[in-house]
Amino acid sequence: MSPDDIIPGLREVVIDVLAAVQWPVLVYFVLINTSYLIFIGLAAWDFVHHLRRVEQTGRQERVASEFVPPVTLVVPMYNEAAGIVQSIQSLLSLRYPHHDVVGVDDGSSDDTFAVLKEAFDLVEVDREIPADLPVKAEVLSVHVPRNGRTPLTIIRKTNSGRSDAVNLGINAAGGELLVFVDADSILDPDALMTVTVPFADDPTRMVATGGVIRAANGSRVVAGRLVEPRMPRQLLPRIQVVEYLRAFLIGRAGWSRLGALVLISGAFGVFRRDILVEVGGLDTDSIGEDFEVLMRVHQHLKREGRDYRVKFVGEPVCWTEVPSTAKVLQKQRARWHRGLWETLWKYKHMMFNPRYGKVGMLAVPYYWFFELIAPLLEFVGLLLVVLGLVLDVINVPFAILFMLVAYGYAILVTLAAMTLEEMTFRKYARWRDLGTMLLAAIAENIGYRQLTAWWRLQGWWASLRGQKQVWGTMTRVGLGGEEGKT
Amino acid sequence: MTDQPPVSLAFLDEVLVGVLVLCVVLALVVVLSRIRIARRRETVKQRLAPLRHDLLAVGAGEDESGQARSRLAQDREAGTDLDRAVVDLLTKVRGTPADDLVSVLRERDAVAKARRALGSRSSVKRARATRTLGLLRDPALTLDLVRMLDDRSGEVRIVAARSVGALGPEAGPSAAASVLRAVRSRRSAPGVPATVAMGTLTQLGVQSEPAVALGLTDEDAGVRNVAAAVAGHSLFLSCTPRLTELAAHDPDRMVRVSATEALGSVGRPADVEPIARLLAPHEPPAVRRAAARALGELGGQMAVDAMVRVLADDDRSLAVTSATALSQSEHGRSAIRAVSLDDDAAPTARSAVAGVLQMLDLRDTGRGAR
Repeated sequence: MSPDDIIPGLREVVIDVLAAVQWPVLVYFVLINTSYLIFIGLAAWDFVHHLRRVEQTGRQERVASEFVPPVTLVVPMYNEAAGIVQSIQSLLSLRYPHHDVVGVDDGSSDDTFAVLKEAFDLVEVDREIPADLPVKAEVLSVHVPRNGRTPLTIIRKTNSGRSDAVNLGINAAGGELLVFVDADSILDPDALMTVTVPFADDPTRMVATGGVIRAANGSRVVAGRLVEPRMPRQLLPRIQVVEYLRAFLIGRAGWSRLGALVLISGAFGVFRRDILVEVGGLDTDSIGEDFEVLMRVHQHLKREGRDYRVKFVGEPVCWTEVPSTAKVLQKQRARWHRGLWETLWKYKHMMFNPRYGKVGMLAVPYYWFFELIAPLLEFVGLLLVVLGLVLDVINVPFAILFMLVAYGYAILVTLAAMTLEEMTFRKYARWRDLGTMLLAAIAENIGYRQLTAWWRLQGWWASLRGQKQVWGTMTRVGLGGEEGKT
Repeated sequence: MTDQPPVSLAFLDEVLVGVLVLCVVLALVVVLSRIRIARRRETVKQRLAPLRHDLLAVGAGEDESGQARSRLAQDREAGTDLDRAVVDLLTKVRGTPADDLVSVLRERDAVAKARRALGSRSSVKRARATRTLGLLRDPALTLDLVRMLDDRSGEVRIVAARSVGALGPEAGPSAAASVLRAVRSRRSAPGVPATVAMGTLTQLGVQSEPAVALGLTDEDAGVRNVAAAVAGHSLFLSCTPRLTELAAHDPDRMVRVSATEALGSVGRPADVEPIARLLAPHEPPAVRRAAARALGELGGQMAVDAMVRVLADDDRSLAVTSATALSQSEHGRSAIRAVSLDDDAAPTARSAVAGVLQMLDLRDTGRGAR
């Protein structure tokens, strides 16, 4: 068959498909962006009350309070020699009355342990680590500072992955509350005080809280502390700043307000230890282990009919280095979407199941329809538009108009999130940064959005084909490698 | 190329204009909000600039002549900005400087204004007014502050609870009961945070004992939990029988843990046996560990024996917690040293105490184990 035979038929198909999907796509598109606007409204309510509450509850008094629960920070680490000492020092010096740090070296092949040993004068002890959670790896040794007083424990184990390292940390932890922090992240000095407030306020019901993750690229870092948030110099991290603002800060605050938060970032989450042990800890086979464990917590507690709360706290900030190259970003987004798909599939029985309350009736269906399927629809939509243009079945000015409306609405949502940020936390003080953020909100829709949709589809497809997931290495520039870093 | 767009979507150009207008409006709101906040800060700074020296002098207790206090009291230009600055400073000082700042507020009529603002429709104004009145630490204001514990705004209730605590024992037993009542959730709104209520009840001292004892029987688990923690911390002996009941039978696990730990603080030798029973394997792990910690606090031969028995328990977290609890008393330390040297002791028991002993040695000597 020649192209002249195929093209008329193809044109007919594209015209029929476009006619069939134009309204559903438009409705879908309006629904998804309107849901973001609703989240922004809910987040605004949440942030205003949070800020007032924090102001009135007396942060200074909390630091000296004997009633705040003991906390253990669990820090999995793998080949982190470059910044681990500064990171641990920063965690040890967080403002909190009773906290300790358990670092789990997941079989690093670099000098991670050696630099820690020298910096903290570590000595080996015969400390028994309970097996509350099953752990695949073999524990090689346990170390504490020679002075016996610095609240730090370093465990060396054979390499078995992040989740297994966290599970071992949970076993070794002495605190009632566990905070999971990535070794390359930087916490605000008061982050522990604030992220644990919901547990102190409602100790009988609160089971997990999550803090907000923001991009640290470009910010001024001094001695392991982020002293001045700044916008990154590179385009990709810049766009991720506004993306994190909309998706992580606003989206999760909205879900939290609705009482249906199902995702707490693994880079900065707090859990009650006994609950984690009850549900069996992190799933070492899951690629979206942070999402999976919270879904399991919801499933377990709902089935037991327990009254419990999971809350997102918008203020304590965990700063992390976001990918600055397309290659690393691609791997990250593919992994995230694969984790999303695998977890949603695993818990598909919760969908529209009233037994699971708002989580089953609201959050799970939303994640299916608007988080999982969104990149597919976006990609198919783009494909149809391109085909329509090539086959001359779409009016060009109309196509441009349609795209402008679609992406204009997306920009509107991001700007609404920025407005809320400006009126509440206002982390970026420089005018230059504000201007950069405004531009990034526009730039996000030109190429970045389409690329990430494609990468997310790749992750989903890889899972459907049963490809083995490899975590890979997150290549980092380092938090001392950009302007203003010291 | 087709000339006409699908008729059904012809309204898109109007939508686009609407979206673009909204985008511009939001961008302007962001920029204008930043300008407004910066200007407001500058205005306050300029208004307070002539008075900064006086504020610091009074706050630091260096206004021996009383002139700075007098100037602050008489100033009318800085208005509520100065009132707020005085209130902020008042949260940071005690003693004579605090008394001087209170007299400044009284002379500026800020107290009367605050009392009037307690009835304001704005929750922010009510919270600020409650805070101001609380900082005066005047028992005559107890009723005003207690009334605010029933405010419809959660933030105001928090400030009221803290303010009642600032009054200390003079607030009286009924204030303690009101604070505990305020811990209860109201529909979807959370009650006064547990830590705030605990802090307040502790500040009220023995005046809160009857309310705390009653709180241990409350139907709300949050209230029972707060009452149990305060009973333990404040050593309210009259609460011991009820704490023992809660530790053994409360339907809420967290309350059982709090009650057990409270018994560790307030309990007597007679309480060792009921706590030791909580080490039984059928009890939840969190309660068993709390029992081990409580026994460590109580000490005594019977407690030590009970803790040593669980060093070989299948729940290794319990074993390690027991070993750590034992290390807190001289008697317990002797016991775990004996276990480590006893060849007949279960290997698991020796394993539990090994690391604890090493930590003790490190603390005592400051030298390494290896």
